[in-house]
This record gives sequence, structure tokens and C-alpha cells, in this order.
Amino acid sequence: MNDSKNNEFPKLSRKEFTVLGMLIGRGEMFGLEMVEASQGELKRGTIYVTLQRMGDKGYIESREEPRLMPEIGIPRRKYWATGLGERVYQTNVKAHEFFNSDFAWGVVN
Amino acid sequence: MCCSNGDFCLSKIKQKQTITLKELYSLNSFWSLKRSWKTKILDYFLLVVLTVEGLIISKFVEINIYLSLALAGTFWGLIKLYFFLRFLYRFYNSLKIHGIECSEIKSLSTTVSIVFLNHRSSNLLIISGFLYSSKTQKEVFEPIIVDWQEEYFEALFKKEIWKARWINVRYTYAFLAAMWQKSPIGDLIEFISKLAK
Repeated sequence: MNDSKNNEFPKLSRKEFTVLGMLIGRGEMFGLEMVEASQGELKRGTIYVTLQRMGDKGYIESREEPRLMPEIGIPRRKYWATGLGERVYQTNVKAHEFFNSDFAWGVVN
Repeated sequence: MCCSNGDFCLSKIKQKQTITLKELYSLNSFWSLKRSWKTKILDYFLLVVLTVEGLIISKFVEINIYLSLALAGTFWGLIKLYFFLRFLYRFYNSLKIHGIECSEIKSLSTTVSIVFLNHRSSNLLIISGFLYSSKTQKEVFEPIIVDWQEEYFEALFKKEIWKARWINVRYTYAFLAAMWQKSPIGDLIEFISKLAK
């Protein structure tokens, strides 16, 4: 936490940005829900690799959702954004806004 | 035989009905009825080939024709036994992977319960389990398998066979893509592409 505060700016990749945006906007989600909601931006093969990396960075957390009795099998995993994740996302949103603003390009009178 | 495509499943266990391994096996045969004619042809083809081979051998080697035919029949039986044992091995492995105990199958009582075991995905899970850490297995590969099975059997229930097959292809690719991404070479290529940017 302190590392991200003191060291470099926590940049998000496009996929990470999309995932965090969805988790902050919609709350807890399954991986497949995110793939379907992203309308092609997130792929089935890469989503879980991205989610694992984000988990390692501390942006998201996950838990195994226990299956109800009729269902048997591997439990599904549900993801949500952490406080750090939300902060990093908001920072990136602000940075994008600033980059696209007139102020950043010296147009302000 | 029924295990030709590697997929098998339990379907619609009615209320207070128990299911045994034998029933599970018969359900699997039911799902594979469409393919049975192919396997039958292959079976007979194999038998004919072995018989002809036995006859040819008996022409050139000093061996009784009946003995050569009996040898061919035995060989055919051994091949069948091999495939049956292979099926059983995969079947129990799949149960193990999905955390299903035999007692659980016997005592399952639900309104309409659907238990699915997708064999192809189980095989891939065995390979990834061998190559990657248990953390990666749990966080990356198992969720892919769960999604795979969910979409696959949803399509099967709607009787969209071609969609189910397409889902199999798509998820096999997705699984391999994830394996590639988690491999050291995949990491290295990603690192280089990041540097290039």
C-alpha cells in the first residue's frame, strides 16, 4: 500500500481498467459475467490471468462461492474491488480526464 | 464404445432417487448413442482386419488356422479390454477432480439435479495441474473449467449440439491461451512487448 503511495504512478492496462470499472460499478461479479458484460473486450482465455495478476497487486479480492446441494463440482469464484483498487481506478480516471482536458494541452486562457 | 468422445454426464436425478455408478455408466451410453454406429463399424473393421491377418499368417507360418483365429479373437478382446479400462480410469479420475465421492453419488437426492462431468476439460485440468502451481490452478484454470462446463451443458440442454461443440473448441483454445500466458515464454513475450511499447 505504502509502496504504491510512494513509488511510481499505478498505471492500469486497458483490461485491468475495464475489470475495475465493472467491479466498482456493479459490485461482486463472476468471471464469465465480466466477459459477457464487456462485449468482447475481455476474452475467456485471458480474463482469469488478468484477474490473478490484479489480485496479486491487491486491486481485487476473490472468494469461492459454495455450490448449493443440487449442484456438484468445482466452486465458482466471485471477485470484488478492494479499497486500493478503487483508489487506483479513480486516479486513472482523473488522469485520463486531465490528459483529455484543455488544461493539459495549454489551451486554458 | 460410449466413451469415444470422452464426455459423459449424469442427468436429471429425480427426487429421492439414488444413482449408482452402473446407472451413471448407462446414462453416459445414452448420451453417446449418436456415435455408437461409428464405433460399431470400427469394432467390426478391427475384427475383420485381425481375422484376415490371422488367415494370412496361417498361410505362411506353420500354424493351425483355428489357433490363428483364436489368437486374433484374443487380441481383439484385449484391445476392447484396454479401452474399457481406460474409460474406467478416466471416469474415476474425473470424479476425483470434481470432488465427487462414490457415496455422494449414491446418496444424492434432489428435485432435479444435474451433475456434469466433462471429460475433455478434466484431462486439460490434469495437464495444467502437472505444469503449474496449485494457486494458479485454483485461480486461473479451475474457473475456466467451471465456465466451460456451464456453457457447454447449457447448450446441451437446449439440444444445441453444434453450439456445444463450438463451445468445446472455444474453451479448449481459451484454456491453451491461458496456459500460454502463464508460461515463462508467454511472460517473456509480454515483457518484451511492454518494453517495445
